[in-house]
Amino acid sequence: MGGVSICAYMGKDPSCKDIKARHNLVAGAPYGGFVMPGHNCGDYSSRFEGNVAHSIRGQKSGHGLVMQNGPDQPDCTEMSDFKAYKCYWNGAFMYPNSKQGKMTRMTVVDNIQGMGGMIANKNNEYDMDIVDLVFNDIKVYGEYGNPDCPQRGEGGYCYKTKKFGFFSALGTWSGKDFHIGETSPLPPHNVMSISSWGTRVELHHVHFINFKPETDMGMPMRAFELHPWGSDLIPMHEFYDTKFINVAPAALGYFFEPPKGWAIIKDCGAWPCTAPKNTIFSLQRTSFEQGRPSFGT
Amino acid sequence: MNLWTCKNDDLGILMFESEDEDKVDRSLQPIYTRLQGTDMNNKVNSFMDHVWDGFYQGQIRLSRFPMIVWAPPKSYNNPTGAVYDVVYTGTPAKKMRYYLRSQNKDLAMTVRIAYPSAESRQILKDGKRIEMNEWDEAARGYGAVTGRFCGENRYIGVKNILEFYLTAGCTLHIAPRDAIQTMVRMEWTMDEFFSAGGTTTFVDRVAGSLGIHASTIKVVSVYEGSVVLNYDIVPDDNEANPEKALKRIHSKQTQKFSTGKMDLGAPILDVQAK
Repeated sequence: MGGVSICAYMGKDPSCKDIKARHNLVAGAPYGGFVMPGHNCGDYSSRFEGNVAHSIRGQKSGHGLVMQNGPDQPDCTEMSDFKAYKCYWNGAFMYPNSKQGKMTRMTVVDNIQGMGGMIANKNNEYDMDIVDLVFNDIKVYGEYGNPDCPQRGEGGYCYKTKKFGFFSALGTWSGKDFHIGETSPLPPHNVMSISSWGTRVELHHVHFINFKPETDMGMPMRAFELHPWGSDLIPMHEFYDTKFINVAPAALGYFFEPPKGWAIIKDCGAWPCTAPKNTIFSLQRTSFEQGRPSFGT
Repeated sequence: MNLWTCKNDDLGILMFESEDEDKVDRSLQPIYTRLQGTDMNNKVNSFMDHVWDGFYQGQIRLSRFPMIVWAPPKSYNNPTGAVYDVVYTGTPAKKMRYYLRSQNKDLAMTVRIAYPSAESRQILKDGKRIEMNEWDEAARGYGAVTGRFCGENRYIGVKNILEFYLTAGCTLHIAPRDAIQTMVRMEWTMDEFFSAGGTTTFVDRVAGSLGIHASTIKVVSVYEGSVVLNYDIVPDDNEANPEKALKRIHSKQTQKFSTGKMDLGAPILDVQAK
C-alpha cells in the first residue's frame, strides 16, 4: 500500500500522464508515503514539488518515497523538492530501470536509513560513461526533535534502532515492482539480483547535518553506511562539495565487516562475499562546520 | 567509525570478470591480488547466489571481482609503478574483462596473471588485438612492459605469465587466440643458438620451411635443455578462413617434421605440436 500511489499501483501505466502532485502530506502509510515515477530529468516545472512523507512503516517496508521511472522515461528520471522524516527505512529511495536516476533538492530528517538509490541497469552496464545515479543538493539530517521512545517507553511506542543518513547506492541486473506483492523481496532495497558492472554514482552538494555517535536511545548513528545487502559490488561513490555540519568524527560513517552469516552455501560459500571490504567513497572539495575532525584538515 | 580515511589520490577499484560461458557456474575464487614490494594481499570472493526458492539454491555465482587497489602512476620515486599479481586459485577463465575505475585519470598498474598452461592468448582493446612487445634477444624473452599505453603486454614463457598495463578508465579483454602451438628441442647450446641468429633466424627458417610470413610466427619461450623453443603460428590477419589456414599449415608442418625437411639449423631431438 502506498499513501499516494501515482501511476504505480497497477504497474507502470503508459496511459498515465500529466499528473501533478504538489504540497501533499502523507503520514502513517504502511509501505511508502509516495509511490510514483519521477518527472523527466531537468523538468523543474513543479509537477511533484513540496510533497512530504513521515512516519511511514509497514511489514518489512517503510519508505517516504519509492520512486522508479515511468514507461516513457527509458533514459532518465528524476525526483526533486521532496521531504521526509521519521520513516522506518529510507526517507527517499529510487530504483529506476532507466539509464539514469536522479534526486535533486531533497531533504530527509531522522529516518532510520536516511536515503539511498539503486538502479536496474543491466542493459547498459558496460557503458562506462553514464553516471547512473546522481544525487544533487541533498540535505540529510540526523536525529531531530521527536523522541523514538517517548516517556521512557510509556508513550505508546518505542523504537530503538541504529540510524544513518545515506547508504551506498547499487546497480543491479533486475529491478522490482512499484508495489511488491511478496514478502521475500521486501524491503524494496533488499538486493535480490546480480550487481551490474559499471554503475557510476555521483553526489553533489550533499549536506550531512547533526550526526552524533549515538541516538538518544544509545544506538549507533552515522552520516553514511554501506548498503545493508551490498554483498557483491559497491560502486565507487564520488562526492563533490560535501558539507558535514555538526557531525562528530565518530559519526562520519561505518563500513561494516562482511557478516559471517553470508558464509553459507546458498549465499557466498565458505567465507563471506567481499564487496564491503572493497569500497571507496571518494570525497573532493569537502568542508566542515561546527566541528572539524582530525582527518578533515 | 569503522572505515579508513585516506588523503590519497591514487586509490581505485580494479574490476575484472570472466566472460566464459560458465561464468556463473565455475568457481575461480578465492582470488588474491598482491602488490609487489608490499604485504598487500587482497582476497576476494565471487558474487552471492541470489537465487533461492526456499529449498533449492540457484548455484548461480557470477565470477566478477571488484577490489581496491593503490596504483600510483610511475614517477622518479616509483619507477616501476604498481605491479599486481592476480592469483587465481581456480583455473583462470579463458576470456576475461579488466577495468580500472578511479577519479584520478593518471592511475595505472601492471597486472600479471600466472596461467597453468601455455595456451595462446591475446589482449584486446576496443575489439582490436594489441600485439605483444617485441622480442628482446638479450633478455631472451619479450620486452618488459614499460607503461607506454593501456594494453601494452607481453607473455613470459616457461613461467606462463601474461602481463599487461592497465590505466584508469580503460577496458581490456583477454581472449584465447587460435594458434598452432609447437615445442621443438634442438641439439644446440644456448650460446650457439643465439650466436647463430637466435630467434630471428629461427623464425625465418620456420617461415621458409612452411612458406608462411614470419610475422605469423610468435616465439613464446626459449630455454636450456639442449635448446627448447616454444612457438605459436597464428593465422594471417588478412586470411579469409583462419581455421582452414591453420589446419593447412599444421598438416604441412607435421609432414615436414616427419620427413626431416624442417630446416631449423640444428638436429631436431624432439617435437610436439597441437
